[in-house]
Amino acid sequence: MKKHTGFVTSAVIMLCILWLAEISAAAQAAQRRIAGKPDLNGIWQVLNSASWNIQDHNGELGVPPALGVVEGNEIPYRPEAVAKKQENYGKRATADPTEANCYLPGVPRITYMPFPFKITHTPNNIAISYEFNHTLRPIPLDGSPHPETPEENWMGISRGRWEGDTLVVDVRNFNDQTWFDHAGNYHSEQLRVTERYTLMDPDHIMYEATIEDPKVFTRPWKMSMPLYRRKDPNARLLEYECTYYLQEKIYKDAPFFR
Amino acid sequence: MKKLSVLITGLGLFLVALPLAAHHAFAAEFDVEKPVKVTGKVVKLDMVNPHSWLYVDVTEPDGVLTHWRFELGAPNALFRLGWKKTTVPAGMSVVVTGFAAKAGGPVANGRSVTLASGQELLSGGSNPPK
Amino acid sequence: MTSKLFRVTITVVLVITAVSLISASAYAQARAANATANTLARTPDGQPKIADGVWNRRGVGGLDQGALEAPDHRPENPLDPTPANPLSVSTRADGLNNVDRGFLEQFSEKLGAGGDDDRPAPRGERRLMGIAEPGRILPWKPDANAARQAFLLKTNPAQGLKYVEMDARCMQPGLFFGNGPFQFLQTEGQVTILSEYQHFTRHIYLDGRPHLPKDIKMFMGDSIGRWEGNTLVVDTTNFNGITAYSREIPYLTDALRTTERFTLTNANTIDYEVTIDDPNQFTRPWKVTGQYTKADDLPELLEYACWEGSITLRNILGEPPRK
Repeated sequence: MKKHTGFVTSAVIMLCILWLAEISAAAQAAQRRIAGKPDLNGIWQVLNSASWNIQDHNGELGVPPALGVVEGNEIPYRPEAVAKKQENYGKRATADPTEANCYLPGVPRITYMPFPFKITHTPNNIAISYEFNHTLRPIPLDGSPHPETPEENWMGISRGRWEGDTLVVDVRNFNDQTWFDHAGNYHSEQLRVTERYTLMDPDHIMYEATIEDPKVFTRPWKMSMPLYRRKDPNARLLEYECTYYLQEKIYKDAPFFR
Repeated sequence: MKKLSVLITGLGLFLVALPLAAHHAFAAEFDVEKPVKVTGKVVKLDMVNPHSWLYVDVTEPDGVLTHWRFELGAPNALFRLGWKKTTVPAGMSVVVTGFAAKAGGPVANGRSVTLASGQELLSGGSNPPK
Repeated sequence: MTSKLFRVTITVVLVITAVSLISASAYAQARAANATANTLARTPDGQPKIADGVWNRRGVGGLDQGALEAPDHRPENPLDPTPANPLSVSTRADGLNNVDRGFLEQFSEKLGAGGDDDRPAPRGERRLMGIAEPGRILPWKPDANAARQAFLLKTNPAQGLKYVEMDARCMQPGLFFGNGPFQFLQTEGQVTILSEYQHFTRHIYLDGRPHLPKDIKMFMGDSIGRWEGNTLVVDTTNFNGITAYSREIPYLTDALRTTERFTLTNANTIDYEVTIDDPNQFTRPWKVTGQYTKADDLPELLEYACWEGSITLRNILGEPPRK
């Protein structure tokens, strides 16, 4: 038997190499692709406190503490634009368009609301459906220009394109009505947001949003945060009908004419 | 006659001030037997869902000023019919056709709007068949 | 075994193993490639492909008129003229039936200008739409019908928040009130329907999962579907009891269960049929036929912001007192 040892050893090594090659091929197949691009389908959610305040903040009753999601933690307001942020902060309990009034949160705040969202990704379309107030963002990938709708939009109008394996979404035609967070950070109708979604591994997307608004800020600035795949076996969107709950509260004793 | 028309106008304004349920049912709110056509100056265009509203000030031959309002389609419907933000600026002279509200008063479901340029735009709202 | 035979045996085993591994991998890749080449009519996971783009819907959501107009209330389906409702069908000079426009709209033939967005209905086969079965009178339970009549009497003017139409409240409409425009997206094991109206999403799961627990109630319900040939069959439960079928049928209760059939008849047409089963209000289920047609003149869904800045409830119910 001894004279066959070398032969058997090399046979075993060859089998191991073939087995590893097969494992690697299977692993590549597991990184799924849609028309050649990383498959972003699934239910995702942030794990941070950005919807309360996108900058560093301590805890308060009802507000978890967090380090900010803004690069450099600085929001470069124009000198004349800072006062409005302070004013917003002071009246945030009633003036926050989203928390107080259940209005559409705009972009990127909708991403970091503490609710799950579903990315539906097909070869020609991306759509993101958010559990918060059933918000919906269709994101065409057809490269068409943004339409000039007569009214500016709460969620803007989105156009998506792939840069390598990163989904880049160009969002424009915003109105000036939304806030970036409950702390009153705001923008004008000149806002333009560029989102980047990059799949880091099958269960994490690195999300970046670059903010440009020359009317309010002195330069573009950026937020970034991971998006975590919801792994619960029964993960799905349910309904958080903010508007319905608010109406039931405000108009409980209606009608008010007498 | 002037007093009567002022009275009717006043009643109309009063009726307009009453709450109106917002819904799509043409026949429940407007009367296909009562077509209207007015010429006046645009006050403003309110683009809201589910129905936009066009406010037009109409001066009668006898000098009486009536504040008309016309129900148009949803903002997206208007956009798809070619309306832009600048289509009806305040002060523009327009001719509006439509069907009067069953409740009476200077309220109507708009059918078409003819701009100062002569261009006619459809309203995008609920309408009876021609 | 001799040494030579041993070596030959091992070599043969190795070769067979290597060839099997390599060819299995190649076969899998070839199958995947074949699937890609055949996606003209199928999605990668084998579903019949619904065309990309925007779709309109007709025929669903009842007549565009109020039940309060006539004391004897208009029938839900005016197909059959009766002495009680002579206006339901009669012929006008232009040959069109003298019915409410809302009903006329439900025939898929060219109507001319007019309509919620003033675009003509698409030309095509004449397909009778609206309430198909049992027909003009729905199988109401008498108590439930009395309750809904009493409810309708309190809606104009609205005597409370619950009497305000869900459309005016900017709520998700359920499956019937509101006709899109829509988009259909298909991914593995799911069909996702996007609606511009009220910016909602319908998630239809094809993986055979059970329905949600009964206590979870939603405006849009919980939809489980399967493909039968070119027909998507969708079973929906877990409704919340406050969505309307139409203006005349202001709510379907939380006992509602619907079965929808979306049949792809050609690239631009989906014949739609839904069975509506609300045992709290009706003695048996009833059926509605409708149709989705591709809207080639609508390139995309736009934003429909309804509650944002809305003064409708203030107009209808008055200004709430300040705290």
